[in-house]
Amino acid sequence: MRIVAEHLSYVYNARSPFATKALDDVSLTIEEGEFFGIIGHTGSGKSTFVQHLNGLLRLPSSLKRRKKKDGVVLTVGEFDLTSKKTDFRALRRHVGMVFQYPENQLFAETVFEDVAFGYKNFADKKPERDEVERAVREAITAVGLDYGAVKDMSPFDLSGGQKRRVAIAGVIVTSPEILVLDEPAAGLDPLGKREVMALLHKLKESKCKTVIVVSHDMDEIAENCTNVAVFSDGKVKDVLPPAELFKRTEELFSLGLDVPLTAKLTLALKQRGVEIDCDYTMEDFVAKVLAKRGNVC
Amino acid sequence: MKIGTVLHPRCYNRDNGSMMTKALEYRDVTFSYGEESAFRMEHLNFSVEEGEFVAVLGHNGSGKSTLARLANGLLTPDRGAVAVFGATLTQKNLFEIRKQVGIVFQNPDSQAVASIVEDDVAFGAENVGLKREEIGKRIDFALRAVGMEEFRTATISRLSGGQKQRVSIAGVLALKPKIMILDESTAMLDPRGRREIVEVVKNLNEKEGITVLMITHFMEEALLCSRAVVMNRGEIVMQDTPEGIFRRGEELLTYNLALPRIGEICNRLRAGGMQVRDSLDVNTLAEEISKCVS
Repeated sequence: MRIVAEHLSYVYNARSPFATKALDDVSLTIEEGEFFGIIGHTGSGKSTFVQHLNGLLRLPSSLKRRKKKDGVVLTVGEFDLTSKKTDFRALRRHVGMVFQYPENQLFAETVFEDVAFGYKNFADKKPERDEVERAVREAITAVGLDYGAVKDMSPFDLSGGQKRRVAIAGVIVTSPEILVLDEPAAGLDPLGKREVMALLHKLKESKCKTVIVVSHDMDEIAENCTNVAVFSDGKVKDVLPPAELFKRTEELFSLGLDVPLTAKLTLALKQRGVEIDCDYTMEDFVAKVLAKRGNVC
Repeated sequence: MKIGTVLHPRCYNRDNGSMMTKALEYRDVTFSYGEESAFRMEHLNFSVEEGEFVAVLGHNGSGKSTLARLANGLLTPDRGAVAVFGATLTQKNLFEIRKQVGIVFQNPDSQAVASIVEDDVAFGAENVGLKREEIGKRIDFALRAVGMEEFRTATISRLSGGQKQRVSIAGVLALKPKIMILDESTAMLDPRGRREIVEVVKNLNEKEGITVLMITHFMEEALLCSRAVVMNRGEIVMQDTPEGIFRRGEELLTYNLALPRIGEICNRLRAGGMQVRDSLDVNTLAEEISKCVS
């Protein structure tokens, strides 16, 4: 499913003294199969944008009877999110949303019940026990947990990294085609971070066609994403692959954003007369530096 | 009451022959969260000197937060004792000691008790019964120290995460603590917020002489400290300067920790045959690399 947004704007508390424009004429296309990154500092509109993708925030034209669309386009695959006729329930089954610190939303007595909740909730009619079990088993296995060992445990007895996996399982249990995650690795220890990112790659190959991550961690973005959108003041400044984006170090700094370590090193080397042209993944950076090695040492 | 169990706060430091004061000392501490919990801390001995800035590293569940909570009596050891400036923590001096040891927690949204910045900062000071004028002075001092003077009458819910955490720090500062513990206080912030907090804390350590224990998952933050300790299964398994710790990359991996990325790049370059020295900042490494390329 392809995501197309054109001239998308959103105002919180519209027509009140607290009105704040969170999105300002945003146009953005996300192709199927991308590992798409969204960056921007706090308050830049990233979260407001992703909350549109499964209709958590709705456009006025999809809510009010006479409201015109005014050239706004927002489609997710076949779903037209500007229309009143859209089946938002069906949309949400296809677009899974994992919020920040999703483990805070675990609630059930057992891991099984917690993961099953999403499945039952989105089913059109009450599903058979076998069917639920199959889906839950598949989701828990897909996030790298041992189904037999954890299914009857309380989610609250698991470690931080495991809780996060359970929370992700609760979202992918409906087999969404698009998986949106807000800071999926935040707050985990370094190893937990790596595991979660590896898990997302695995999910992208097996279950979900498109993965969209909102992240502050530029190293993570450089290592994983195919394309990155830069949000600032409710606008999209750039949409570029990391290899191109992080060449614009100055621009990112001026937006209050960071760059990956590899980009900082590339810049520091350039100031010393050494040009490194890499895609800013650690692997490529090291390879390009080693290729420049002289006979000195 | 037993006499003679309290050590004098000033004790002789063998390494440099100078008199050092132990700000915080864990003496043979054993602790568990009950029979069913898998976590155990056994016979932990550890101390922090006055004025030190110590980073505590370790994976989730390694005992870092337990260490923090033992320091001001939020948790009590099963056996052994915790001493703050030589005074062993007991039920009797608990509140005195809490004035000296402030903790800032992880979540910027769950630590505020009032809706306006100055009310929140005043809360702790009011709680210990300070006079009104004194509280006013403490608020001035605390907000200045964290660079939030202009937000004195602002609504907390409208601040950024980094600003909220700075208000939390100010609330602790208003009690004029001698020791400050940050329990992953930067974990939920964006990079800008993280930088704000680290700068404020570094400044408090250098200018106000506050002893800091900083628990963090960000290996890069540990580089700013004078000493780093690594915890694993309730035990302190490594203690060194940050550089010293990160030179032992293999060992870190066995405790489920990773090197800071810059350390990993150094290692990979060396593995590829480029003899760069261990460098933990960008310019030093760039210098090392530029020496090796023709």
